[in-house]
Parts: sequence; structure tokens; C-alpha cells
Amino acid sequence: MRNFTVLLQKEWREHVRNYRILWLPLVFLLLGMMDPLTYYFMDDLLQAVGNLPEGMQITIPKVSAVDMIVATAGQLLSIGTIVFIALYCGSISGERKNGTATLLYVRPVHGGVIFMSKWVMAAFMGALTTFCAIAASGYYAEIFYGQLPIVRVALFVGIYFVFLLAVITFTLMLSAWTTTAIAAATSIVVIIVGMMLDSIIGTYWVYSPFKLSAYGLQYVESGIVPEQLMMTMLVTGAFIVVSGLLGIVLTQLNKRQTNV
Amino acid sequence: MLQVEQLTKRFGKKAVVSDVTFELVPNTITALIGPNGAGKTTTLSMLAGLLTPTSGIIRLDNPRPVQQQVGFLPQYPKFFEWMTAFEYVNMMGKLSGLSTVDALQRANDVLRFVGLYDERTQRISGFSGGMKQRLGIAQAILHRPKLLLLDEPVSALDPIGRSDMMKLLRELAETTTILYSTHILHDAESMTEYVLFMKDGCLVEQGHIDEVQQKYDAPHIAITFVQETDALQFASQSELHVSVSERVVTVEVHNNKPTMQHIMSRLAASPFQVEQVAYAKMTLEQMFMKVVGEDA
Repeated sequence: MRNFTVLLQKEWREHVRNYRILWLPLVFLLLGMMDPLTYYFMDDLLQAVGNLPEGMQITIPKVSAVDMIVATAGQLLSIGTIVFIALYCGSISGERKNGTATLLYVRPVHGGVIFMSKWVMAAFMGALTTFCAIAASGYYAEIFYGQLPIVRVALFVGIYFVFLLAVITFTLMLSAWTTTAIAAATSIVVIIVGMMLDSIIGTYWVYSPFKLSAYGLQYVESGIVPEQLMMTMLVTGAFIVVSGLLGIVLTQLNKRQTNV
Repeated sequence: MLQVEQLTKRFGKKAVVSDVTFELVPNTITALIGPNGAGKTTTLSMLAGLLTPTSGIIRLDNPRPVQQQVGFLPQYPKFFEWMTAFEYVNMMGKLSGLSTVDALQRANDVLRFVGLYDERTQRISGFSGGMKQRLGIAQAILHRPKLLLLDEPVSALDPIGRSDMMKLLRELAETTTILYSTHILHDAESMTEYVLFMKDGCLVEQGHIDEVQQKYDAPHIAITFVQETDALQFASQSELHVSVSERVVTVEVHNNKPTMQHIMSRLAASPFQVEQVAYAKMTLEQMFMKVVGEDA
């Protein structure tokens, strides 16, 4: 437990020293602000930069505050996911490759502790950035489009966070398993292509971690809890636990691959 | 202290270390000497617990886990450069199992010992190569290990850094057993008591440096000339067993022949300017060439 605290402190310090603790929430803050702002000012924007012919008529559909949250959620699912994969795919394999892990591994530190310290820090960043994005989006949505159903949005944040946890755990597990490049490529292919496939031919099954994001969106749009949501949560939870355990075992096993 | 029996490491079919057996004497410095690719780093990695041997036994006197008894310094130690020296050493102390108070105290002590105390609040990213090597020593001795494993601790340093490092090691050897690998034989000679010669993964010679020296040392006479060309010329004219290295001609002596008088009279008759003529001990380098070159 003490080793875990010491290593978590190390992770925290690294995030502070390379300013990740600052710029990552800022990026997500901007990501969240983007949709409500561009929607609201679409008319002005088009007139200012659009170079539209005289007499052109554009009808912008009426949107609600919840639609803004849905739009931001879409951003989180695509850009947000990729950002997290890119940032954390090297966190274990990178230290092995550049040799900084060697002096950790000659000490009585179990791989599980190393994996968990990275996982907790990444999960914390996930929670922080998700909150920033949704808060920024929600703030402008409320100003421009009126009252938001707070509970519904909060529940959605919870659902999305579980999905992000699955992404983070899977990415870290791959980082423990392979080299940085392979981990990045595999994560992106599996998660992004998986999400696409799931939306194209996903009608044949109802439970998968990918479906979780779809159900989350469905819920925040309609306010009705999809009946498969609970089960999908459980499936995703199991996926996280399995990936995590695998990650712990692989971190310990691959200690010998560190560059001496 | 440490016993190693028939230690073997194979990567696939290739045996990088094979059948290595040796023992370390407590509180001495032992040099692990061998050309590049001889298996020195692999041997040290196994002793440090980073690699699992394919077969063989590594036995320490004390039954505690290896990691608590051994301090390890890799050839190119890599640190978390965004940390300060103190933060790094303090963290590593805690991870080595020291109590919070002890870790704090030890961090300050070892940084003072290696001469980085004044730089303790600076980021490691700004450190020079020599400072990093000293920080490497600091993290290796942190938990008061009985055995210190150092991979090429002086090879990357300039002459000043090297002599600093050797001073540190000599001080440490009073309470610690040190095994270090090197290919800079000149430095090794001045501080080593025991030597292990490695070649192609095998130990080809081991023992106290004086014993090994005696075993391989054919007595010889070294003649230092003022001019390198003179040395070459003298060597080429001579019918004796000689070898030349820059301005020095080494003459092997077998059954007391040639005698010193013989050499002196030869030199007196020659036009060459001589700086020094002396009976000489074999240097570690010559010994190494002889041991390693034997079956080459």
C-alpha cells in the first residue's frame, strides 16, 4: 500500500511537472465549449466568413440544451477517446523502453502496484476532463438554450466515465503488454474501428462495451433508461476488471523487458 | 557473501552466459572484465534480479529477498528527469523499504556522500553525465546493500569524474562488497583486488589479481625509448621475443635469458636514446590480452 502511495505521488508529480494536469483539462474545456458556441453563433459566423450569395436562406433547426450535451458527448467519444489513448499508450512500455523503469524494477515493487498507480492517475484525469467538458458545454447550453435536466446529464457523465475507464484500462493493459507503437495502434484500431463496426452491424448483439456509449447517448437524448443499460454496464465492468488483472500480470511479467 | 554456481542464460538457442561459477569475498572489490558482448551486463542483470537465469544458482548469505540486499547501477542509468535529485533518491528509498524518516535521512546522507547535496533541489534533467553517474551511485547505496553491482561505472566519465568515482568506490568497499564490470583496465588495476575474466559468456580466469598475475606473468624487461621510431627499429632488429606498444618495447624473459646485462650492452652499442630500462610487472591489460587471446 505504501509503495502504491509513493508511486501515485510520482505519477501526480509527473502530471504537474509536464503541465498535463493543466493543459489536458483546458483542451477538454474548449472541446465542451465549442458545440454550444458554434451552434448559437452559426448565423453570425456564416455571415462573417461564409461568403454566401445574396438572398441565401438558411434555416437552422431549433435545438435544445440537451442537444448540446449530446453533441459534446459525441466529441468526447471520438476526440476524447483518441486523446486518452495517445497520452497513456506509452506510460508503461515507454518507461521500459527508455530505461527509467529499470531502477524501479530492481526494488521490491510489484508490477501490480506500478499498474494501479498509473491506472488511478489516468482515471482521475479521465474524470477531471469529462467534468470539464460537460460542465463547459452545460454552462453555455443553459445560457443559450435554457434549463438542463441536471440529473440526466450527471447520470450520462457517469455512464460515459465507465466507458472511458474501459478505454483507459485497455490501453494501459496493452502498454504493459507490448511496445508503445503497437499499444497505440492496437488501441486505436480496436476502439475506434470497434465503435464503427458496432454502430454498423451492432444490431446483432445488445451487450458490448461499445454499446455503452450508444446507450448513454440514447438515454441523455430521451431521458428513458434503455433496458439493456444495466447489463451493458455489467459487461463493461467485467471487461475493465479482466483488462486490469491482465495488465497487472503483464506489467509484472514484462519487467524483464526493461532496457538495462 | 555471494555464491554463483553454473549460472547460464540463453536467449533462444544462443547462450549469452554459460556455466559461470564464482564466489565473492566480503568487503572486496571484484572487477568483471571482458570485451564487449562477453555477457557482463547479462550476468549483472541476473544477479540484480532483473533477469531470470535459464539455469544455475545464485546464493546470498542472507535469506532476505535479493532486491533488499543488492544495489544496482546500470551502465546508462536513466532517471525520471522531471524530478529533483532529492525527490528521486527519497522516492527510491521508500520503494526500497526504508521507513519515511529513514528514507529522508538516508536521502540527505547519500547525496552528501556522492557530492550532490548542494544540487539536491535541482531537476535531474539539468545534470551532467558525471552528476548522473554519481546520482546512480546514490540510488544504489541508499538501502545500505551488502552487495553493490555496477555496470561500467567509470567508462562514460572523463578523467576527473573517473578518479572521483574510484575514490567513492574505495570508500564504499570498506563496508560493502563490490562487483563491477569494466573494459578500462588501467583504472581497474588501481583499485581491484579480485578479477573475473569473461569471454563469450564463459569465465576464463578468476582469482586474486596477484595470483592471476603470477600465473600469467612471464617476467619481462620494459625498455622505454625517447623516439617511437627507435623503439620500432630496435624491435625489428632484435631476435628476442619482443612486443612494441608506442615507445615501449617489452622483452620476454625465459630461464633468465636474456639478462639485464645483455640488454644493457645491446642498448649501449646502439645509437638509440633510451629513457628507461626496468624489470616490469605485467599490467592488467597485458594479462587480459593474454587470457582472452589465448584460444582466439
